[in-house]
Amino acid sequence: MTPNELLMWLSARKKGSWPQFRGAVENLGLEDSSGEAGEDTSLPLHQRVRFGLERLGHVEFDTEECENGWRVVPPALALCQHDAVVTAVLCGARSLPLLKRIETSAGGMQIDQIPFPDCPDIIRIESANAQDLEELGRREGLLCQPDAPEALLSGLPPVSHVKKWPRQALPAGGKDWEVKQLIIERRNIKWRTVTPKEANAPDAEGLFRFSRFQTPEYFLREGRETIKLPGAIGKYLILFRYKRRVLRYNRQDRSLSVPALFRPPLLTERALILCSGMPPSLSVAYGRPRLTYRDIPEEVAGLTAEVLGQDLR
Amino acid sequence: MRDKAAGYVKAEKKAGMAPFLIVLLVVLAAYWLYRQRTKPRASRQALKPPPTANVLIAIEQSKIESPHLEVLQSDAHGDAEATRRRASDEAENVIELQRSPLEKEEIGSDISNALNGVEAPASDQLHLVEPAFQTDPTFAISGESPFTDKQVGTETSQPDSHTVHSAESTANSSMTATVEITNNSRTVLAEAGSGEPELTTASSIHVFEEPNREPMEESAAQQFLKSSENEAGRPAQRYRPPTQKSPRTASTRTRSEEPNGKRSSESALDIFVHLTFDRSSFCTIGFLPKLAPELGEEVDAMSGKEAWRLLAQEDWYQDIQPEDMGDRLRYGIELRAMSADQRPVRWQLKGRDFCVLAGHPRASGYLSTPRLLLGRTDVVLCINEMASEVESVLAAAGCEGYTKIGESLGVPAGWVGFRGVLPTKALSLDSEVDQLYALKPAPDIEIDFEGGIRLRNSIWLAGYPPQIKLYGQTNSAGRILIDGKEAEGSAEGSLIADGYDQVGDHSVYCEGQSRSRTYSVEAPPDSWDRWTSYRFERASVCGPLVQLESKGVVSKPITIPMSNPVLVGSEPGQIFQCSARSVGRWRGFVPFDVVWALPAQPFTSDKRTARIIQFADKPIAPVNLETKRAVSWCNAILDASRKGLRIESDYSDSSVRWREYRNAARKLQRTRR
Repeated sequence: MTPNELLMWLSARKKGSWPQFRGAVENLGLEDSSGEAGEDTSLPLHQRVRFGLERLGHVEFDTEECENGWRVVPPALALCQHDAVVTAVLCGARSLPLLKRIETSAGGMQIDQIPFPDCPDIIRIESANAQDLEELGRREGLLCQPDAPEALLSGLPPVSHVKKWPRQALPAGGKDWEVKQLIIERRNIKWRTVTPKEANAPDAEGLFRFSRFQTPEYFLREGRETIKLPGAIGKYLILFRYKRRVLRYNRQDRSLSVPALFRPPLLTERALILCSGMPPSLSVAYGRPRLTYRDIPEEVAGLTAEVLGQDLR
Repeated sequence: MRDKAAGYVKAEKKAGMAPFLIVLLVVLAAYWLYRQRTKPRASRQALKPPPTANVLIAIEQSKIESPHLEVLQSDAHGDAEATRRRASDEAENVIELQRSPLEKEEIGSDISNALNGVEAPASDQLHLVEPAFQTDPTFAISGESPFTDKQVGTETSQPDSHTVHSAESTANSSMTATVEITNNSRTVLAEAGSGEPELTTASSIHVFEEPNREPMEESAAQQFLKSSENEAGRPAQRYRPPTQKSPRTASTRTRSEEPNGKRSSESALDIFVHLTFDRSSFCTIGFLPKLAPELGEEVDAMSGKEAWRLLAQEDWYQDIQPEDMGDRLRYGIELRAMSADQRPVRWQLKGRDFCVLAGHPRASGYLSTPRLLLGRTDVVLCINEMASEVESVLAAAGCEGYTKIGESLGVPAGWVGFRGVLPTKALSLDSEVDQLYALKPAPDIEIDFEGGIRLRNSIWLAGYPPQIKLYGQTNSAGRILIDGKEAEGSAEGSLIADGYDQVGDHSVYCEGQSRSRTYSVEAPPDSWDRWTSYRFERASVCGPLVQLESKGVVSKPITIPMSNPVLVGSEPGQIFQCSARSVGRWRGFVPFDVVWALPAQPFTSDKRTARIIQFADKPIAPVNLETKRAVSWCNAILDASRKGLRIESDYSDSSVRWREYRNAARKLQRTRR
């Protein structure tokens, strides 16, 4: 099974359990490489495929209506306004009849089907105006999201809003835990190994990562509070507190780049990916890996920076 | 005086305590003597058997689930043969250790008597049935015990030796009993799996407790996981090829299932060998334990002293890859875990010298399979010592063009692999039990479905039907019919017929051998429900779809230059301050229709460049509000007006519209005063 076929399988099943997904990924003819840039721990194959599907908005995992499992998103066109054209990225469920109908119905619009490693093909339609794309969606029973990146980013709370995250004590210890703390020293930002005892010390503050069985958990300690939160949000919160800027926007080639260590949180990244339909490319500059998102309108870059508590450089 | 009196009282008390101290000393002395007596036994236990041991050490798993007890009988030459007896026949020899640990002396004497009672050639087998798997600290007959691995055999120099079997299941017992037996013979206690004899002794029969530290405190689960049988993490038996018998006619129930369809607690679940090749032909080998649904998605299993976290997939758990893969393949692996309701679960792969692996519809790469199949390309792994023998069998089976792979390509140490093994000739089996059974393909025809997108069981997704393959001696297959139509070979080597990939049920029938299989093709769904995956204060999200929750938010985002971040609407109070962003243009959603965009600080702005931007030609709404926002709305308009900024607009009467807003703002402000 290829990633395209995997998405077909997921679409036909509509929803299922995590073990079912893992079993299906086992069937993929993909290589289980050591990991992925921007992740704190090396990821097994099924996690890489999962994140690929999740970032592109095809499938949601372990969320409100699919706890401990997955559910496919209804087929939708995510529209993004660029200077002269509007692009629509096909997200969610796919079936052969649906793809054939879209191809037939698109008429004069340009359709690109772009293969990408570990992901289903990226299907992108371009048109001079959004109305044509919305009409195509209506004809073929596709949902349409105009200005998808802006809509997503506008709906997200800024990283500095920590109220919604649960207060939870740090794990007390145990031989299997690997504990690290995010350290910001001058120009360096890195994870430093600490002991569970040091992390649990009364005066300890900052972002701590407790990993066990390749599964990291992140805790932010601020004053008397210990907050459990997603790692990416925790990192940007620390950057916000330290007033460190990591986002870099290039107005000429309309690209937004971040150090791979600071991969944006899932939905923020989804918004960035929906600008072009393409996952970020990885480049290494001065020995430091960076993720670059393409075709990002300036307004979207600004909105992203606001959500992440960053200033653009 | 008071001190002196106190001194007398103390002295009297000391005198009164003297007898107690004496008694205490006597007790301690007795205890010391007792310890001195038991020490030699413990030290004897650590002794290794003398090199003269020349009789089989029986290592065999007893069949507890059967009412028959299998015993080993030593013949005059020291060879052992398996005989079956009914448990009742063994009554005189079976000693039930169903006493509490406190009664050990009595147990000892019972065993002594029993063995003395054996005395004779008449009873040359002794079953020491030890504690069963149960939480009760008392012992029970091992017939109810789920696991037995430990066996005891005696080594003797006499031809009519006594064989001692201990069908032992100490998993949950509170005491581990070890038996010393001698009758002018040396005794060996052998532990299954490890094969390491532990004890030789002479002279008498004793039963004593091993120095268990906390026997009564350990839970059943802990004892099961840590039991001596599992110490090596290996199953007690090695793989044996199936016996060639006439087809079964009676019950078809497999040994692993109880009549009610539940898995028997005594049976072990399978562990498959899983092999994958990467693009550079490097292979990775792992073990796939079969899924035990009752254990949930994550299981902590023990293999000897090694712990593994098993992560569930649909049919099995994720691969585990022990470091000593070669040894594990050769000697087998056993995993143990406990379910939430304290049911023991066991997986095992028996040790073997070679292994056949074939493609599987639900796994990448290759999975261990019972036997080579004609026409199917498989992988064979074997130990180095057997490589030449295996190659000769493969040659006899018509296998050509396979590649030999070694350690440099990921094959475990001590093993060698053959990739691309494609047998073309069926081979007959040598004897009732052919050790090379797995390497000798049968002439049988097998219909197989491969590839495509399988939704579940034998249902495939429309557009991705299965590839129908025929394996075995296809020349004897006769006509192959798919849905009654004669099948043709496709370019990919599979069988096709008109409509074989259409939605519906299909059957494949092999006329020559009366073999058939069915499959279905199902259409994909044509609609998917909209649902919500994330819910935030301002929006709910599902994939790229966003439903903004705030009231009044217009569906279209607005783009404005950052120089004019104050946005006002047609109603007094409709004012919005854009957030500061380090970009030239601000884009976002505003909770009203914007009519004007104004500079943030009109008084300090440069009149030559600063301007008022009109977004819509909307008349002012006749609302007379006295809110803080209404005041801000008034101030923003009046400040921009006082500075006399230019109006940038596409509308012809923008000045008139601006004056209308300015007058309304003034009026509102006057009303407030």
